[in-house]
Amino acid sequence: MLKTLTNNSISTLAEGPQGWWAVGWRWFFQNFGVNENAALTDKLYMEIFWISVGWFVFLMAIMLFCVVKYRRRPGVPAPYSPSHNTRLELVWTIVPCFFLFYIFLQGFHVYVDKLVAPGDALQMTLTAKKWDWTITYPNGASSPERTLIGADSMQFGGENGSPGARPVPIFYMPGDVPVHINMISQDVMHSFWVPDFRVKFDVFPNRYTTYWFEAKLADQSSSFLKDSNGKEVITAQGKKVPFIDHFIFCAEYCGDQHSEMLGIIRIVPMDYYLAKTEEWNIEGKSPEEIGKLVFSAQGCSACHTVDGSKGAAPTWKDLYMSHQPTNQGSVLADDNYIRESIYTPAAKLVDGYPSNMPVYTTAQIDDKRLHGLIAYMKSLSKFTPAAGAPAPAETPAPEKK
Amino acid sequence: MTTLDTRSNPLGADVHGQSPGWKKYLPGHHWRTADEEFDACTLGFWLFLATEVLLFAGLFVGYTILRYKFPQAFTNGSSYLDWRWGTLNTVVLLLSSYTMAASIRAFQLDRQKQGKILLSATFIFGLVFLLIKFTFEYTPKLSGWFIAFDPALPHYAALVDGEALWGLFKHVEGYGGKAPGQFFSYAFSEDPWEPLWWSIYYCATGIHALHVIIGMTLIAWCFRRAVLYKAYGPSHYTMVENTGLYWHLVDLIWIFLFPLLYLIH
Amino acid sequence: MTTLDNSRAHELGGGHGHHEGSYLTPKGGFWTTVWDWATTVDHKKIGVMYMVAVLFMFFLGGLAALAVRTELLDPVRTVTVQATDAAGKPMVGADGKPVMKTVIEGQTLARWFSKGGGEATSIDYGNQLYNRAFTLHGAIMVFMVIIPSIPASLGNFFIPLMLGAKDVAFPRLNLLSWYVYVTGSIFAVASILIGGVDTGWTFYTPYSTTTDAEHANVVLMVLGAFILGFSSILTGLNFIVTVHKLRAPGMGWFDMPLFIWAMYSTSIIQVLATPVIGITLLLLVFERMFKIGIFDPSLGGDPVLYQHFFWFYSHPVVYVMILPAFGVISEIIPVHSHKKIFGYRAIAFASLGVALVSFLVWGHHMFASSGELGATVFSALTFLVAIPTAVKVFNWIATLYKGSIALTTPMLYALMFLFLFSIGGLTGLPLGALATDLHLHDSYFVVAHFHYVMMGGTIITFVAGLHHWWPKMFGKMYNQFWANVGAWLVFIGFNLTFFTQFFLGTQGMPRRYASYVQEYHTLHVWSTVGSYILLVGFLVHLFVFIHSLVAGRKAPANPWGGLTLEWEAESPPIEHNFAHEPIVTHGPYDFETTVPPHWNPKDYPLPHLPANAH
Repeated sequence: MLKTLTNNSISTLAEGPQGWWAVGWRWFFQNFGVNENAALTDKLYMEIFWISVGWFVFLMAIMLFCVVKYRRRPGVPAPYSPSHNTRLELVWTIVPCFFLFYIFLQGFHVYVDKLVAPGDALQMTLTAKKWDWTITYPNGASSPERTLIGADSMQFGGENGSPGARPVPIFYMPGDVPVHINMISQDVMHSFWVPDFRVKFDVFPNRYTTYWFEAKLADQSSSFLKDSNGKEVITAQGKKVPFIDHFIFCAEYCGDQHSEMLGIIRIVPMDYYLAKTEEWNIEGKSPEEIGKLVFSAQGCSACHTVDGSKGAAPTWKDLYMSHQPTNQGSVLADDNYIRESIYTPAAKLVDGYPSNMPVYTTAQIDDKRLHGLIAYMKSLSKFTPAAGAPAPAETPAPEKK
Repeated sequence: MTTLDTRSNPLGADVHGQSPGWKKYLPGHHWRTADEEFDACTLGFWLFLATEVLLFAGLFVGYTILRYKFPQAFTNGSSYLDWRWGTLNTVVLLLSSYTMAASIRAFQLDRQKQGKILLSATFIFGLVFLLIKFTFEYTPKLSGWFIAFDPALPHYAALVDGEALWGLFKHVEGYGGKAPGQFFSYAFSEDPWEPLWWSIYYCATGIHALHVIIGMTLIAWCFRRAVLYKAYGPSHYTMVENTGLYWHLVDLIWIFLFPLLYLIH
Repeated sequence: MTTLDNSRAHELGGGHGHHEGSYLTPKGGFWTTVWDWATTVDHKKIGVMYMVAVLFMFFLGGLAALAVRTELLDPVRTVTVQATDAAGKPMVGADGKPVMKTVIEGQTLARWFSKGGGEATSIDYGNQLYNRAFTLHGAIMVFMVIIPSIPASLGNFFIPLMLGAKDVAFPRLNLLSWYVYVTGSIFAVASILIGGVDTGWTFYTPYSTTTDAEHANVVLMVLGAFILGFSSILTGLNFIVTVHKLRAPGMGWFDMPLFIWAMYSTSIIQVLATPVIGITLLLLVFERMFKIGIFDPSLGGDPVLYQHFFWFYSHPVVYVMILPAFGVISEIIPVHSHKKIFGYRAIAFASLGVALVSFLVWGHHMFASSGELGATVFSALTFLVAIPTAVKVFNWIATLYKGSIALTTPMLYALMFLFLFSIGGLTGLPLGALATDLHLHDSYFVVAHFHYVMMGGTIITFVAGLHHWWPKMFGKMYNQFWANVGAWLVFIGFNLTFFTQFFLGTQGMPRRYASYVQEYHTLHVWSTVGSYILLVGFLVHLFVFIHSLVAGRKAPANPWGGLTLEWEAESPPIEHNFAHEPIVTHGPYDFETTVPPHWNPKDYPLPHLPANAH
């Protein structure tokens, strides 16, 4: 499949669309496609557009001509013409067929490219849930990086950042290699759409769907990664890191925060991608570090805060070993309660928060990650017993109303 | 001005008089002849039957897809259905179709008494069908409660100790709970997808039973008109004819449901 | 034209020998009249009642649409601003730095409905209101406005008149349909009153079976749609039998007006497709109430099965919405350009062809569901369905050629229909092509496309039909100048609202988003401005109609010079439509050879006759 793509005449992406169909392209699209397939999609779209414009102008011109020429004037008889003409009717039935057939064939041709991933693609899995995405890299790591949209130097996205209600995940992906994603949902239907790739596929709770892309990076980007202080990131090899960001949108309505279910695919060079995923690999890390990674990667950070401020769910600051008022009475937030809350969140609900935490399975948060999370919570809580010391005699129990 | 009002009794005021209703029948004011009206009603009713067939077609498609996905669940689930009850119900409905058709024929020949007897027979057959459905099929499967003279009971009672209520109802521990979907609580199911089978079973037979009830209501209504007005006779029998069509459809759908549900294990 | 004395009418004492009153003549005092309308089996009164009910629901759905557009005036964003104290002074902390707080901007609906002034309302709350608003808009407009609009109101009123019949085949069933329609609408409105539904009008599982689990509102809304389906089936069945059995003497199948052909095709779809959605919605209700699991993946069911069922109905229903519009246009264009319609048989067969092929293309709503080559078949069939539709447009434009075109309000609307519907149809092409659809599916491009087809096609035509037949229905003329002003406002507002959305879609704006990234802001603002111009346009029409009813000039029996049978009746028609059963002696569009019934040279000149003829 790649072969047919690379043999195509469109190869210089940075220069933008080439050929007659580039006329008017700017009205419809902001970013040029990331690969040949996206460019072919644009090309097909513009072909359909100009064919449509041709037909439309032709029809409307005849219509306006008739309205002006044959408008009713008192005393002027209508010229009249036959109301049936087999030859004419055959012509206008058959001629559109050719156009339609051409559009159908082109649509099919480019569609097959979108469908079938090359065999050597990097294999990843994507889990969608209300209202977050998680992508697991081939080494089992997930990206813990998140950003408020607009808070970063987005190529796409304005100064003022919007929606920006919640931080959205950033998925680092290597440029110039095919990536194949197996997608599944944990709750309702979602749809994974990266407008720049010109493809979307629905994500179902009961079956895998697949998505693949190959995003160009080499010679395409003039912006370089910056760290949180605004300084350009320099790799161990002393190189700056070029990158291109692409928005992910959820395109299938999935509830309250459907419009906040965004994400960013950040295309970076292969070596930087490898370094990053190795950094996030939980193998060989301390439980607390693992917990910190999982906290972001599994989307806990979308609702829970760690600094005591109020989020959509209870803050993790000083949570561990505290007493929480729940709909089942006051509960001590110990290891067992935390475990229960992750795997069966609806069992005991802390007062004042809705029941909207997604259910996690042991496949997503295995023992190692669970222990990591608990360790991370311990590190955030003042009620955590010091090593070797007995548990504090009194933790502040909330007053019964 | 004396316009005909289709809302009032089309049979005229003299309903208790000597002249039977069907002779006095006048078609709606927008029809040229009674024959045209009859043709139109029949055409309309056939169209309505087409919509009914399509309604059940949706269920059959659902059945096909789920059975294709979970063949084992369907076989297991079906094995709890007793083909003897199913066959009996099929026979009951076939008989009722015969009495329905015969009753229409009787009205066409102006044999009022015969027609009324056959109509009531059809109604009673419908009632028998529903009784069998609810007392010998739905209730034990849902709750484990059997009626003491249920011939299936000794088979289960031998397996477990039955708990009796007033001597007439017997409870077999562990037999109930074969409810659809989430309410499925039968402990000995052998396939995790069995609840789906019960969903299909209850939806299909339940919606069919609803149609039986609607058909019986129509039959009762025909019976009432036949008794009060002598409404049907050689020149006018539209309603009883269409009720018959409906009843045959109900029968036909059961003919399809019976093998699909009862005879697949 | 000759007429035949109806011997039956003589026998039954109806409509013979003396003049019968118009169907609008009150039967007595106020309550007697109300009771008369509420129990009427007269197809004309039922048609008018449908019209009133549909226009009311259109108003409700329109309000929801404006709420949606208003919310989208501004992208939602979280910004931090300096906090103020109770006296309104900016707060400064102990360290001398300003105290900042978080504010959510752009939550218009939340601000309207929140109690506390609306500062820093939660994003969730705003989105919930928005999600309910667009669901409401979609469900009302599809199930309660567009599907019954032309068939149930204009169809009910004019099918018997155009066939020369006294009523539809089953008048009481017809009244029942209306009550069923009202019942279904009450269910839907009730579900709004108890909190609203946030599923979207498609009720996709498993979202629709899990959302608001403890509330009955989704069940109510789905039951409402289920009940409305019955109304649709009964109306369709009634029309099919009417067309088969109640044509006037001399009217063969190919002497029928094209409006009848369109309604006949529509009715076939209604009767054949609606039962499938019936069982689907019923299963959905069971699913929610009893968790039967047929569509629930956690119990082994299949959410895609729901989509197949849903679109097996809902795609043909797209043609239930548009075919009647084709019928209306096929009446308006020949009458107002006084020319025989071009390719009568082609249009008639195209209606039937569209009706049949429409059952085979439901899969094109699911190209993005899973990458299957089966999608190819659906794509090909989708292009196939485009051909009869294109043929119709060519026929209408060919009809204009060498006619005598009067730019009346209905004609103006018909021309606008050709403009808007062409755009709607042509923008279907990138959605039918697989590759581009994977980009455009569920984006604003789709939203714009189906509004061009559904609103630019059906609603515009409904309004056109109302203007065409208004004199016949109510016996009053309306002010054409102001009606034309309304038409232009609607046209401009419509294009501003929806043409911008094509660009939003290609640039990546997904459907059903309450908030969006900054890039889309400008286009959204234009779209919202357009929606308010639309509102003004429709209000102008409302006032024109009210003015017509109150102070309109009495309409002649045949104000446009139409040849179909309804113009032989009086304006408004008498109770039994025709004093004598009409006999058809000429085709419905033989303008060259026929003098229109009731022609009065003072009303309008005829192009081929001198003003003193007749």
